[in-house]
Amino acid sequence: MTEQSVKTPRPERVQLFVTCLVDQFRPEVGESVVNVLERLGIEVEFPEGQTCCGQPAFNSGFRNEASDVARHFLDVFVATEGPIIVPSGSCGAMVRNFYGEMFEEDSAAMERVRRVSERIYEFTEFLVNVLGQDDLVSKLGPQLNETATYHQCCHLERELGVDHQPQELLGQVNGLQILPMYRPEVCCGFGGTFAVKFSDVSTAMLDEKLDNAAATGASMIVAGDTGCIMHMAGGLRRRGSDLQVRHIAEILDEATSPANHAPGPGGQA
Amino acid sequence: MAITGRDAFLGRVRGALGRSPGAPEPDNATHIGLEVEDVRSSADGVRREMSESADALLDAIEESAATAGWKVRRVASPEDAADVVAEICSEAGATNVLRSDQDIFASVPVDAALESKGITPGVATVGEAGADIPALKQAAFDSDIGITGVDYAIAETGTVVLHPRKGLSRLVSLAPGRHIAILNKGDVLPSLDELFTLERADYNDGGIEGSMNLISGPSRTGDIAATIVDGIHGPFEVHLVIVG
Amino acid sequence: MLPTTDRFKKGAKETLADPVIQMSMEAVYTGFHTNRQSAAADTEAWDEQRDRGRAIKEHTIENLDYYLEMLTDKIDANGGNVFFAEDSVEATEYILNLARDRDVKTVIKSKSMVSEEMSLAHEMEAVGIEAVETDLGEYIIQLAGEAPYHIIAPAIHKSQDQVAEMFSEVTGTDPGQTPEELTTTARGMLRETFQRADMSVTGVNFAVAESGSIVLVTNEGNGRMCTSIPRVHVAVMGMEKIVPSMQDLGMMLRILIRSATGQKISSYVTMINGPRRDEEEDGPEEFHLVIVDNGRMKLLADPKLREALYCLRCGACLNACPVYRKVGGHSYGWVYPGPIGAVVSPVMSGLKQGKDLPFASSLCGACREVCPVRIDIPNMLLHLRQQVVEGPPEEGSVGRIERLGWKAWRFGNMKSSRFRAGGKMANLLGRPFARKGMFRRLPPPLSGWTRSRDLPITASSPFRDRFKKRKSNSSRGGE
Repeated sequence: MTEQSVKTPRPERVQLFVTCLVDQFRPEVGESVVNVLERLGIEVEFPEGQTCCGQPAFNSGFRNEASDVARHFLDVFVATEGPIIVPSGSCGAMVRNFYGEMFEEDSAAMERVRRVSERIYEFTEFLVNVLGQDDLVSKLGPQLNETATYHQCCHLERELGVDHQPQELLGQVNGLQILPMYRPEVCCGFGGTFAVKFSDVSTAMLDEKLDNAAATGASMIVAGDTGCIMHMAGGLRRRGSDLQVRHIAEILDEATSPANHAPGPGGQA
Repeated sequence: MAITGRDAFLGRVRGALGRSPGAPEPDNATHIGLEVEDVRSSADGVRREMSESADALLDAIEESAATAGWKVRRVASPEDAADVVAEICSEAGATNVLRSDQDIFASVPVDAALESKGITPGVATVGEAGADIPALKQAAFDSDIGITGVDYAIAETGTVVLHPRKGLSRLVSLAPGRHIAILNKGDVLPSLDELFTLERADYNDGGIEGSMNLISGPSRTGDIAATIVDGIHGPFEVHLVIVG
Repeated sequence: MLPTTDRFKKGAKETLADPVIQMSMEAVYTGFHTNRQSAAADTEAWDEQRDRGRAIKEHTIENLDYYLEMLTDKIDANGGNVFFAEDSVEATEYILNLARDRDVKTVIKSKSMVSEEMSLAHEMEAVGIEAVETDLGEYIIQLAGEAPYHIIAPAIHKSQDQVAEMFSEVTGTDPGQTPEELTTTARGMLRETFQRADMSVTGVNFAVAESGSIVLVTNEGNGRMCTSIPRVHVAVMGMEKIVPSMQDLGMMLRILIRSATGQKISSYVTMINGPRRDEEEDGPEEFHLVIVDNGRMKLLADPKLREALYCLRCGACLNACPVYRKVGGHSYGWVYPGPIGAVVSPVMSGLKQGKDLPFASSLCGACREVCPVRIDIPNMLLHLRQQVVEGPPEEGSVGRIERLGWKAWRFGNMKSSRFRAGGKMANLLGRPFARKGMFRRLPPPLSGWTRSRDLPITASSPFRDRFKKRKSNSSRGGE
């Protein structure tokens, strides 16, 4: 599965597809995405009609319900222009890889799918592939003084092919020491409704992932998908662990925040 | 011989594929459709490479066979090869030694070398067609060491190729605890792909042997607690003696 | 094998609680999977080879009738026999009749998953034929009376101590033997059996249509024993195991073996072109190939499931699968476990009974990533999930409450105002029960979550509200 192949010149404005989970459970992640993009000189619009991409129903076999909600998504975003940024591998993959599957018999819908799919970028994919890393690097401030370990979310890596951008960006953050975990590519066990329907198995996979993360000694796990983040954070809370789970957008927000910059010549306002 | 139940079965396959009976032949140009001449000229090219690159290929098999688990010895002459074979047998304390009846033994004087160590090798053939198969089977299972030549070796994988036929039984390289294979320079193929090119050419030219064995090291298993152990059903030790 | 595909959840729970199995299953990742990764990295043009392998299988399956016809004509010309079996009962009957006709007392079996579908060894024993599994892993589970746990390593769940104890009960040997000692014991026992076998039954890794050849890939040598000694050799094959020409074999062997164990090649690859010829020194006098459907037609008939027939039975998907590693092979309830099993086991043995299997996956995609022929298993699982939900009751079903739940979900997501209102209401209603913004216990179905994880409450100020505020602040010029 591949990265976005349609080339985009540096845009002035983007559309934010914030995802239902971020909107409702981790709104600060959405705020971080906006902060980072605005600091890079890009205006962010938020099409208000958006709800969900339809993935939960699609993954559960309920394609009728999923396609109705997907049509609504297409209605909202077809009416916009410019790149669509999504801080999630699984939601990005839903639109880019699976909308085609859902609407393959409907040529009118397929046209709309195409027009939206070719504009959609996962957040880190957009930062590196479209804006170029140097842009972000120039905005980075002084030491964060933190340790982190990175979890490779499955859909981001395997469905969208975004397998180096998050690591590259994290590697650039000053004062952030990345401590690799054992088996970073192994699924955390979230899998959407799998986490509820097959709770025993999901929990066993979660325990393995959390043990591996904790063994690094890092103070936080960084990941790119909010479902996985809620699953890991929920498990850590239950264990009474101090280990934090943050979305990569939050780290990049912190790393480029003017509040983090020392005052003085050349300091950002 | 007999084919039973084919028409009904193929009818259901066609139904499942959504095709009407008697559908046109598929485009199999990249598979079988190669003209006989193409295969023959590819095979000629392979044989040329075998002889022109004989030294390099021999170096390559020496390395890959060792990696695959063969105990490898390389010698200059057929006489030296016979001596090495005898050495291996005597060091192993072998009393029953069996060999195939292949051309290699005309040039590599294994019998004489073994006799000088006090070992008389048996020859793994049945004499009159099928007359003594049970005895041959018994001999193979009772033997400590089986010795054969090599039809081809494959550098990519460290493989010895044998085609059981008159003079070369299946069991002589399988039943004894140790197998020694003698390889001549010029019989090494670069990879599996060249082997199958030659096989196809032979097939198109009117026939291949009844079977073919690719042997790439000792018999192995990992079925107990994921621990690799050599010598479950086949030989636990295999030797490749390279001449050249 | 009678399917017990409806006991996935129960089987998973038992296996998760078994520390011996959990430890044994680690070998699947640290051994097989890691070795496969190294082999893939070390092989030139690995991805191109997989593409080519897939192209060969796709071409073959799309023209399966053509190649089956060619294969069987050639086998016939070579002096072999072919029997086409619609199901495992027909296949078993053919083989038992043959055994009776040829006065067979002892049968040696080499690895064959199709024969597991048939429970062939069991059926033979029932009519008084001694049927011995000769693959060491199969031999161990035959002693244990169990189904295979993994496609290529049937006894992977057994610890060294467990195997030693089983052997000890049969042979009286020391119950503390090492793997080396156990192997020597097994070698001795099976060697004696090989010599007196009248008939063998083997599987088929590849059948070559062009020449009527069948190919066996083994490390142990039992495949060679089975095709050298007995008078009668029967090979059992799933109808899909064909490649068009010998030229294809080089590549297929390369991608199969490296994907299975990481080896460049197995210790033995044996190609058989019919029964022995008169001038040969040994070999079976008779060769029979039994070609089996047993539910494969269902996979063939659905274009979205057809690629399941490309499967080479290498086990790489099992080795990469974090679910399989935790729940083990028996949880899947039929012959084929793991990712490929989650597709073929329910389709071949009954989707209604096996309806949990397509859902028993987080869709992580690790299986697709390692498959030598790039089978898109997650896609097939999604397709089967849709069938369970939308299909006729014979193909499984979901509960009424779940159906209503998704209707409600749809309603709530069709308009952003409803979506927002839903979140606000959940926040309002839930707040008295949440501690520091998290729930520790929720009623079903969310109890599945809160059994082991806290769940956050919906935000009182969701992103869309914050964004709106932000925009109105900045347009007012404040910061």
